[in-house]
Amino acid sequence: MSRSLVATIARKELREIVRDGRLRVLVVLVVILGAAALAFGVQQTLRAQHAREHAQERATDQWQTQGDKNPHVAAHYGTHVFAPTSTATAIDPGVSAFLGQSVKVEAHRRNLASHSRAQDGAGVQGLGAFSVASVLLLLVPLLIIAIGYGAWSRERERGTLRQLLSTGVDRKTLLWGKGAALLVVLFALLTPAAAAIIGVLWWLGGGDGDTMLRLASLGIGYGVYFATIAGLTLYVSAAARSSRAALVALVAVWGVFCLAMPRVASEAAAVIAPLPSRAEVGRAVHSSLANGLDGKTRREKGIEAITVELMKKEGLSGTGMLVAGSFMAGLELQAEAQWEDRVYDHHIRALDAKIAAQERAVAWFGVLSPYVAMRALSAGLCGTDYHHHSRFTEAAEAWRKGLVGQLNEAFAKKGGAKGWDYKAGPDLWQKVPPFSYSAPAIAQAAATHLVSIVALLLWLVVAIGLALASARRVRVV
Amino acid sequence: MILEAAGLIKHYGDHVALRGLDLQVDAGEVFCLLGANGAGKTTTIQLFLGFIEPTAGSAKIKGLEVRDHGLQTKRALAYIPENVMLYPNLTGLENLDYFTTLAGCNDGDEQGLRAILDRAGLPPDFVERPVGTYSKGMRQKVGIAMAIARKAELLLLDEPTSGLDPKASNEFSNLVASLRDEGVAVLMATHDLFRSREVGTRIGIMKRGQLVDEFAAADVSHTDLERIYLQHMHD
Repeated sequence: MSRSLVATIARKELREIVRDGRLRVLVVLVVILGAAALAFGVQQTLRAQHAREHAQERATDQWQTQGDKNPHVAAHYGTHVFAPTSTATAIDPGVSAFLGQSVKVEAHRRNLASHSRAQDGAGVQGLGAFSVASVLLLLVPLLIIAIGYGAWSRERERGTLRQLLSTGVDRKTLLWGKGAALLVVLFALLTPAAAAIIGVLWWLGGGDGDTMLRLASLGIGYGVYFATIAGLTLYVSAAARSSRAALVALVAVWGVFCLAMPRVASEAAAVIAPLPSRAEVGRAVHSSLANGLDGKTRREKGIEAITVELMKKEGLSGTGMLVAGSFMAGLELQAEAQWEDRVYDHHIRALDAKIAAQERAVAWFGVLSPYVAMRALSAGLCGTDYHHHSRFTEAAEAWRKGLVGQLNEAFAKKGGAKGWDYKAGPDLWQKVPPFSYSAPAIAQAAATHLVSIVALLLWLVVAIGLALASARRVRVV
Repeated sequence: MILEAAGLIKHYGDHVALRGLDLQVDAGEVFCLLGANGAGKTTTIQLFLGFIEPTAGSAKIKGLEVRDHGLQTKRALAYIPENVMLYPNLTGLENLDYFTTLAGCNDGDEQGLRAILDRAGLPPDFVERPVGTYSKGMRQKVGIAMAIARKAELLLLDEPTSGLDPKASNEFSNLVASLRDEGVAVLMATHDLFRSREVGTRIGIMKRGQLVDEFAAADVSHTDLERIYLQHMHD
C-alpha cells in the first residue's frame, strides 16, 4: 500500500467534501451547536462556581460567628460542605447535574448530598443534556455518517468505482484514503474546537496539569470513538446495496447505539443491581440505629459497649474512679457517634456498592455500543461521573466524623464541672480545619472506566476489521 | 498476445452469460465485438477487468491470468465504458490528474495533462470546469485522455460511442484509430456496425454467450457486415 496514493485519495475526497454545499451546511450547523453548547456549559459552570463559592463562604462565616455554644449543640446545628465544580463540567456535565452538590454536616446523621443543579436550576432542566459532550457523542457521529455513507456506495452507483478499480489501485489503499479523508475533516473541525475548549477552561481556572492531562485523554478517547464510527460507516457503505440503504442502515445503527442501548443498559442495570428507594434506605438505617446491624443489639447496649471501650482507651476502665460529668457525657456522645457511624457507613457503603454494580453493568453494555462506552469515559475524565461524586461524599463524611469527634472531645475535655452548661466560642470554631477535597487523579478515573476503555478499543479493532473486510469484497457492478 | 480468452464460461445462477468464449487480440489490433443486448459483450469486458470472476476458462492479459494477477493486469489496460463516470465536483483536469496518479502514470506535469486533454478533443475552456457541466461526449473524451495518459497497452471499450452525436462519435473513432496505429490493442464492445468497420481490424459477432462469427474488417464492406450481422441475429 502506497502512502502517497492514500494521500492522493484523501485529498480528492476532501476536495469533493469541501465542494459539496450540503456538507458545508452540516459542518457549519455542528460548529454552531458545538459553540452554543460550550457557551452554555461555561455559563453553567461559572454560575455553579460562583454559587458554590458564595454558599461556602456563607457557611464558613455562619460557623465561625455562631456565638458561644456547647460544642455538641454546635455539632447539632452543623454546617454545609460543597462539592467543587470541575472546570471540565463545561464540556461534559455527566451525571453531576443530577447529583447533590452539598452535604449538610451534623451530629448523629450522615446526610446524603442534596441541592443538585437539576433541582435548583431551571436552565438545566430546560436544556436537558445539551453540552459539548452531547454534541461530540451524538451529533458528530451523525456528521461522520452524513459525510461517509456514500463513500463506497455512491462510487458504485455513479460508476466511478469501476473507473477507479480499472486503474489498478488496490481496495485497501482506497479504504485508507477514504478513512483518512473522514478523519482529516473531523480533525480540521475539532482542532479549533479543542483550542477553544482549552482556552475557555484556562480562563475558568482549569489550566492545571491534571485538567490538561484529562483533556488530552479525552481527545484521544473521542478520537478512538470517531475513528470507530468512521470505520463502521465505511463498512456499511461498502456492504449496503445502495447509498440510500447505507444511510438508512447507519441512522438505524446510530439510533440503536445512541438512543436505544443506553436505555436498555440502564434498565438492565436496574434489574441486575436493583437500588432501594430513599425511604427503604431510611427505614433500614432507622432499624439498624435502634437494633444494631445484626438486628439484635439494642442501641443502648451497643453504645454502652463502645463507651466501655473508649474508657479503656482513656485508662478509665477501673471501677470507682471519679470522672467529671462532662467528660463522661463527651465519651458517651463519642460512643453514640461511633454507633451511628457504623450504621451509616454500612448502609451508605451498601448503597454505593449497588450503584457501583449498576455502573459496572452499564459499562459492560459498552461492548454493545461505543456510545455507551465513550459516554461513561467522557464523564469519568471530566470528573462528572458517579465515582467522582462518591469520592466527594466520602470526603465530606470523613470531615464530618472529624468535626463531630473534635467537638465531642472539646466537650469532654473542657466541659469540666459545667457539663452541658459549658459553652465554647470562636476559638474552637476556628480550630476546625476547613473542608478540602481534591478530585481523584486521572489514573484512578481511567481505572474506574477500564471496561469502557477496553470496549472502545475493541470497537475500533472491530470497525477497522469490518471496513477492511468489506473493502475487499465490495461489489463493483 | 495482449489479450486472450480460452474457453471462458460465466454463469449468473441459472443464466449462462458466456459459453466457452475463445478470443485473442494482439498489439495494434482493434477487435470489435458485435451483438445484441445480453449477448455477453459487457460480461467479457468485465471478466478482463476482474470485476467478476469466470465460472470456468481463462482470461489472460499479457500472459497473466486476470483472476490471479488483478492489479498487474489492470496496470496494462485502460477502460472506457458506455458512460465514462467521473467526479462531478472535480474539473476535467482534476479528474485526469486523479485517475492517472492512481494508475501510477502521472509525473506531476500539469501542462502534459492539459496537452493530453487537448489531444483527446476536450475544448480548452472546459478543462477547468466541473465535470458536472460536461456533455456525455466531453466525458468520453476525458476517458480517452485517461487512456492516452496511461500509455495503456490494452484498451477495453464498452459501447463507448453509444449516445454520442455523429461528430463526437467520429472524433472518438479517430482517436481509437490513432491509438491502434501506435500499437495499442483494443477490445471494443459495440452496436455500431459502421464504426466497427471503420476502426476495427477484426470483427466478432456474439450471440448467446458465444462468438458465432469472426472475420477481418478489411474483408467486408459496410453492406456485407450489416447483412452478416442481421443473418446471425435472425438465425
